[in-house]
Amino acid sequence: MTKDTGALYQKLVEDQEQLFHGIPQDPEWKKIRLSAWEDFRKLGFPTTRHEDWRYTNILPFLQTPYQIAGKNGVHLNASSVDGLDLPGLDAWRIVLVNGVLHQELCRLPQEGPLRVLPLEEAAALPEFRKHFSRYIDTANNHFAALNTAFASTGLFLELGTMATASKPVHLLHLTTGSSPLLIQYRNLVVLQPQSSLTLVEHFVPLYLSGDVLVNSATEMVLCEGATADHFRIQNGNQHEATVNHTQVFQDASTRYNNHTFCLNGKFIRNNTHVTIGASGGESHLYGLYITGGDQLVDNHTFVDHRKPGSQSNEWYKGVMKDRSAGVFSGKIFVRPGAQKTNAFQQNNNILIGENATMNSKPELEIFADDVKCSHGSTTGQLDEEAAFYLRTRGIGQQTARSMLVHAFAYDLTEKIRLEPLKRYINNLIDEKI
Amino acid sequence: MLSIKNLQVNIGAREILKGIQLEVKAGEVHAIMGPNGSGKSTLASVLAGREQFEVRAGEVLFQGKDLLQMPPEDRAREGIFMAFQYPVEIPGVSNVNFLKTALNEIRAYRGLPPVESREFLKLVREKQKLVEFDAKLANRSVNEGFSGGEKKRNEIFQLAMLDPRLAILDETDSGLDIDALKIVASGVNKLKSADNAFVIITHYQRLLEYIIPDFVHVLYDGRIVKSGGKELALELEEKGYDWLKTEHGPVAAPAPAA
Repeated sequence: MTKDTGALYQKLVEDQEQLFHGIPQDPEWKKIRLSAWEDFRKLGFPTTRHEDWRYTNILPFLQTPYQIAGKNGVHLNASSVDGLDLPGLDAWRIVLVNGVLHQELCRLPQEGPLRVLPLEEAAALPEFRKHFSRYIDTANNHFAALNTAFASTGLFLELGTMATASKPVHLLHLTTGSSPLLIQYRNLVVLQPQSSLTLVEHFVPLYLSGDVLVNSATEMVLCEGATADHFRIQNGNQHEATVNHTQVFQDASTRYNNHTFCLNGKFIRNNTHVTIGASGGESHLYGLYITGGDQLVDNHTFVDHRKPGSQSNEWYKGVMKDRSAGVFSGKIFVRPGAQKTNAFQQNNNILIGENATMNSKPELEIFADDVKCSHGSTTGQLDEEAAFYLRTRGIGQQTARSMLVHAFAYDLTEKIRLEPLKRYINNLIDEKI
Repeated sequence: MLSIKNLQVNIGAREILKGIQLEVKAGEVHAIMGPNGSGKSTLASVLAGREQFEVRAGEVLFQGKDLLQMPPEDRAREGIFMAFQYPVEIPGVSNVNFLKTALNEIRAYRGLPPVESREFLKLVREKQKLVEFDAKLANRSVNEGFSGGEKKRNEIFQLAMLDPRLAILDETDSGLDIDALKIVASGVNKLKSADNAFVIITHYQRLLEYIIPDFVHVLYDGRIVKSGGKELALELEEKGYDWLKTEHGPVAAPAPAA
């Protein structure tokens, strides 16, 4: 059985009329939704019999009697949101609460090339219609299909041609509530030609005491010559199970950097799919996951080289403590004709807990003959000799361990060019160890 | 300061140390010499707290405290420092952070407040100058990219920074050219005082031309078979170690790597 059609599936089928009711009646969007719904009906939810979900059992999180989060906002005090600003980082701020854009909590320029709208309000714009749901593969991605069918909240963010955002954009994804909720929202980020954006997505709970399942999807389009530094900080809590699907599409001569940090949250599954759809695209995917307790963090990545002369470089590292589980699967796909592709992938892991586990699955699929590709995966333990060296200098065992985990993470944290963000991440790592 | 009585140590089933006796007092410099595989580095490792050894018998008191019961970090905090034969490279741990953490943990153990940043940097400069260690430390990881000689000199620099009561130098001279050797020796000579002590473990007499020991001990097959003054080192240099075999018999088990 590769698909699950249990309680949540049934509820969605029963409620479909209601779910479709009240969503924008834009005919084009409706078509996309119905088609995605058909996809989801075929796919159901994934079980561990499905190759892409082999080590990641989502079924326990599908048994909860969730309410489906609506379009209405939840009132939050600006002051409690202010506390979530990244110290020392001068940034624009966008706030989504359970997927709903709260403009009163945002801090954005009055005018200029940076445009932020609730998803529904953007639906009529040509820039939206040109890109929305053009890149995400709903036929093969259970949650992305479900998201495409029903998500009507979320945001449209656009940066105009030739523009460089004057500050980084801090995009806060807040989850809140005291009863079980299924939260689905959808974002579309469009970087027009030659534009440049730093986007810091920050996933945090705020007064969250009910179990939530978040199914979010983001499409990010880099038009010709655009550059994006895309950070994701996932720091949920024990009530939170998250499936995040990010689909990036890169046009010619674009550069996309992704820095993903998975810290807290009971269950995290990230599908990070990057399509380099034209020549001269360059992608860097960096990921760090530190898990503890009975957490499960699964990073599933897919880099699709479609045209000649593009390059990708992927490096994910993980530290698993206690009984926690890490999963990494990464596929590099080089299509026929995508000659002169350079694609590298590495995954390194450290197990600290005796009952911690790691499953790592690097994959290359290459259909061109003039390419340079490599992948590698290691899983080991902290360097005992280094720990001993530190201890002989008076450094306690805990501190020594923490220093070595930082050192292990350093390859990824040093790549953060925003100093305040680097400090913030390093503090989160400290807390986590 | 350090009192080792009948120390017997195994690695697995193999006996490495077979009853070591050694008394070290403040202000003294002891040299422990011996051929490869005699147990020199094992002795240093046991004193520093390496865990893969099994202490079968004997005791080690450091300033009256039972050393063998302490984890390595507490030994360091009590005032023991070991300069490694093979200092470890730790990519990603910055030299400065490492030293500051070490210094502050030792200070905290002794009830002292953390050192101020400015004061710390001043101390670094001062000690670097003292031991003639001019490698750039800022923005570099511990021992990373250091040459063999620089790593050894970094050990002496750390020694200067942490100011221990007892320093154990484990074959610090190995792999050093004569200039580096002189610098290391001169560093040690400057750090020597009436309040601290040094145990210098070495295969060759060479280092002892520059650091004059008060006592020389010959370690052979897990025992100290001979002790004397600095002239014993010269005698060893002349005669080599072969005479030990005739006087004390060949080493029973195959010699472990040093």
